[in-house]
Amino acid sequence: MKTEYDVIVIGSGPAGMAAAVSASDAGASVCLVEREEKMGGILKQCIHDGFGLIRFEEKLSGPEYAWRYEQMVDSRDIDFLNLTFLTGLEPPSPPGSMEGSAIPEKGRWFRLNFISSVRGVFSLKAASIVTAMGCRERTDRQIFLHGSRPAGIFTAGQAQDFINLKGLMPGRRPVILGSGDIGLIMARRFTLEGAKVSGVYEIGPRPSGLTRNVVQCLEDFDIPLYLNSTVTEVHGKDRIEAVTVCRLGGLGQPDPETAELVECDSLILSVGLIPENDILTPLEIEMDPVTRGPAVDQNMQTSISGIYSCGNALHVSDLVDYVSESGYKAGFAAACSVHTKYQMETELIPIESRGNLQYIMPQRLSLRSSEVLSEKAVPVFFRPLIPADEALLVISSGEQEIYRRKLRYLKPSEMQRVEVDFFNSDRINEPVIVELKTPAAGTGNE
Amino acid sequence: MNRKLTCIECPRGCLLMVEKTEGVDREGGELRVSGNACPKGIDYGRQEVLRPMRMLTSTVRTDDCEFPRLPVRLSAEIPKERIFDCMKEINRITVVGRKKPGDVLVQNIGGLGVDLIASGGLRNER
Ligand SMILES: Cc1cc2nc3c(=O)[nH]c(=O)nc-3n(C[C@H](O)[C@H](O)[C@H](O)COP(=O)(O)OP(=O)(O)OC[C@H]3O[C@@H](n4cnc5c(N)ncnc54)[C@H](O)[C@@H]3O)c2cc1C
Ligand code: SF4
Repeated sequence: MKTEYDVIVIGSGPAGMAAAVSASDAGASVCLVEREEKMGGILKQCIHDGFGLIRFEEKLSGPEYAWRYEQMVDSRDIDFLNLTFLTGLEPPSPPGSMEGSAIPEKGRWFRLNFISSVRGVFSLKAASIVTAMGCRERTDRQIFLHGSRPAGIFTAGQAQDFINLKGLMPGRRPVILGSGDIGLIMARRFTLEGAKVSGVYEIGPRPSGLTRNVVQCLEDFDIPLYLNSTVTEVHGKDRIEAVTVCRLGGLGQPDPETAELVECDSLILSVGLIPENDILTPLEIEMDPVTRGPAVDQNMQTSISGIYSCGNALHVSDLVDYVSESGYKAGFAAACSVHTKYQMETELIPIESRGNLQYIMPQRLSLRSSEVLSEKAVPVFFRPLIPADEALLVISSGEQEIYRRKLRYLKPSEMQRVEVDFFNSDRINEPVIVELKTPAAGTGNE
Repeated sequence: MNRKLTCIECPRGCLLMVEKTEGVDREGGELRVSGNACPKGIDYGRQEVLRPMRMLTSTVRTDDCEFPRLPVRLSAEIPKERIFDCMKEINRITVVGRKKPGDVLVQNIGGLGVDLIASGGLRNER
């Protein structure tokens, strides 16, 4: 095993696997690091189908999708380190203090510290790094929930892990809090295994998961969905026995008048995902406060040259195909940055959002890289703030209009992707403004 | 008999109303679909009322203590009302030996005309 690599990829979910494959194909020496035993990330436990419609034009299950990528990784000269946890990341020391860098033309080395059950504590050097650590689930501590803390409270992902990987049932009469996709999918999974789901309670006015999942996971099995409702109290001493649920009143606060006791033996939380980037905190990488991932350019490069981000660590996606796509881009650019002189510090144009937009990704445009990587259209991702039956997306820079398109039936739960050709028109000099204009707030047809 | 349902063929999610006229047999096709913004909604509404089909994915027991479950799926969709019958069959099975996605575990499961196939790998050591 080597101790120096062109590219080290952290995390072997769909994003990390794609990054390793594309970096290797671009000629880089690659090491893929994973804290678990097997590749695949969260896909290993997502046994339902619907993955890969864009990438493979097939409806695959999560493990099937992961397996295809695992084959691609295996068939290349990629070092895979499993059961290895990244504990720290040290940026290259400033140029002045370098005591004669090993291979100067390759730039400066990052040092990565690991702990592994097999190899103990060790470190590796990399010219560039792709972070693909995925996301973690919000837990009961991060949402406001009164009451004691009896056993029987799980996140939807934990429940998914128990049932699908371990074959254990976390409960027989669960209540599900939050209508995220994982929660909806777990409502069906519990039901198929003979459990009785009392209901799904969503604090917002609309389901946060995809309509398809509301229909096929809840309606198919007559599982009730309560909107504008939440759990306010947990009852039970050792094991959860019931929860109090309330509807929201006029001020958006739970209305005690509507309190109702619902018996259950478990509470499953599906209240959102947070990109996993703790490892980057000490480096003071610029983060996007909305996506909670790093702010990147169109090649997924973060504010620190040589560190790339992709997949759910970058922004939480609802389609795995987009996750893999970002991995490909990050891996390719990471490999190119080692072998070419492409530097991104220069000529960065910020991309700003206006109108009905939660966020926009990428957050900036690197002009120099487009020459080196001969890019064509740039995929631009966004989510609307509120549903819109009709909307107009306009992208401009100064006086120059770059893109204009009418879009229909946008929902915050469905991420949008458009391809924009930034490099065909006149050279861009001023900040890029992305605006989603919605005439009147649409209903989203709910 | 009327039924309201949401079309899931595209993100628009039209609210469909499917009306069934009296005295018409199951396959007769005398179903009036309204609320659809495009023709796909008519097919979807008809299919959902006449013969809704679903994919089923689950897991089966293995004899591997480190990986006690193997993900499985059907080779094709089955009628929705047979899902629980099929789950019963699936939960009877224990797989042994090496498996990779696509391997057939049970042919013609429950007499439904579809196979139960592995959707993940087991003991595919690197
Ligand atoms: C619990 C859960 C369930 C989900 N279910 C669905 C679903 O049903 N359908 C759907 O479409 N999407 C689902 N998603 C979204 C899903 O995560 C994405 O579709 C996609 O799998 C994300 O890929 P990724 O490669 O970015 O991250 P992941 O698949 O999460 O992979 C990240 C990998 O990084 C590793 N890692 C993290 N930190 C370190 C470290 N410090 N050192 C070494 N390795 C590390 C992890 O072990 C993991 O293998 C789910 C997400 C979660 C959290
Ligand atoms: S009827 Fe047509 S437009 Fe409406 S949801 Fe179905 S496919 Fe979409």
